[in-house]
Amino acid sequence: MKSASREYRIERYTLADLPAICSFQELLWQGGERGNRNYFAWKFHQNPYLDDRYVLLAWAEDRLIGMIGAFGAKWTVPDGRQVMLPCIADTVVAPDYRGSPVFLDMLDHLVAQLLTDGIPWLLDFGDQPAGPAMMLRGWRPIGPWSVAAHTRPAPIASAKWPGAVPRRGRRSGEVLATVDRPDPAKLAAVNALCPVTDRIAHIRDETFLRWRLANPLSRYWTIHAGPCGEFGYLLAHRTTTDSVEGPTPTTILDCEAVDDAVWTDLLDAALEVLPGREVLLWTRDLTQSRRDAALALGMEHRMPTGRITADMDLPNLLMRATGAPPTDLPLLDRDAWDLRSVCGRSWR
Amino acid sequence: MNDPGLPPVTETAGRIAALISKHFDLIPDQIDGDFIAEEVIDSADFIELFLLLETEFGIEIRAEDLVLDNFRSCHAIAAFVRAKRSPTS
Repeated sequence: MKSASREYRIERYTLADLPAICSFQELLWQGGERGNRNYFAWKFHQNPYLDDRYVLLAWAEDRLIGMIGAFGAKWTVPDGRQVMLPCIADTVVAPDYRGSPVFLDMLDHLVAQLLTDGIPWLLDFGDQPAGPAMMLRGWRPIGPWSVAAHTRPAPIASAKWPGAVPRRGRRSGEVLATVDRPDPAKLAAVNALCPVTDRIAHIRDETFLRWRLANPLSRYWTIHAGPCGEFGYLLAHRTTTDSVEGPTPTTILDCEAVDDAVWTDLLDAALEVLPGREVLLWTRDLTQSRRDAALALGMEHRMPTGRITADMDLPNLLMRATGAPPTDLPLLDRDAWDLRSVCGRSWR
Repeated sequence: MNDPGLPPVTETAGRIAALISKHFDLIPDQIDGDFIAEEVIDSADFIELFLLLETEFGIEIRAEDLVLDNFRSCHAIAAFVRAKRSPTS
């Protein structure tokens, strides 16, 4: 409810706000002063597609009580155009302002600003519990969609990673090797060998991967296939602030290979050595043969039920048109998307 | 139109008001009007509201049900619940 004691104003971020943000975002980022500062710089200053212009802050007098940001993401669309469609991230409202309109007001401000700037759509991949409220206000989903999950009886510690591989893949015979510091150029080279999609897909070139892998609050694990990693890779992610003992899954955000045998070998190795109690893999953009391979490796397929409350933990994409052109993009067609590399917590 | 076997909307609305009031610790005045427009229920709490309604009334809430007019008020929710419980829904 609105009341005099809960009045606030929404303003665009300026550099002077950074100390307040780093302190406030401890609620979400949990990286400490230095980690949060580095994360902000990575997300809003080092992003190759967009700067900090869509970071909005809600203030109650001189106290920061809300933040929403939109970071840059660049997509190829079916006619070959490349379109920058920003994604919401880093939304936080002070606990004593829950039950106030601040979250939805920040969203409305953001959409209005995007319209002014000619940006046609705003995307949200978050698993934030506000999803249903956003849908009530006109946001449209193209999900949820299924995941494959691998649950261990006890979590695998991150410390077991070095030396777990190299070995030869049982199906392909290719050399598989873990890499502590993935080389974006090598990953991009594998992507360049994969068939070009005719759907809406995020650019997966070296520039994007270099930025994505520089996330200071994330840890990535990579397995390469081939003597020089030229036949495939698997990339998995955890945030650095989540303990491997905890419930947060390790997410495979990308797995590309020149054929199904290499792909399956990469996944097989990953399920053996990736840290954490649970490993997740989005299945919506896998071929049927790769879905079957994941199941054959012991992964459980978690399918949407159609019930909002039962599907809250499954991935989804909500979007809202701002009204700016172009309006002819088929974004609301769930089959129009290819969401490889756009996965889970690593995307926020 | 009255479906046989279903309670009147007014009665269901009263039951919903009591549920919401108790679960979200709200006073009756707060849930009298359009509680979407007035932001009475926090954005993050709608999932709790849906769970409450599913449990209490044995319905399933799906993406296509998420339109504002179904959830603006206790009376609107009661009409929605009634429609979901109707044998023809």
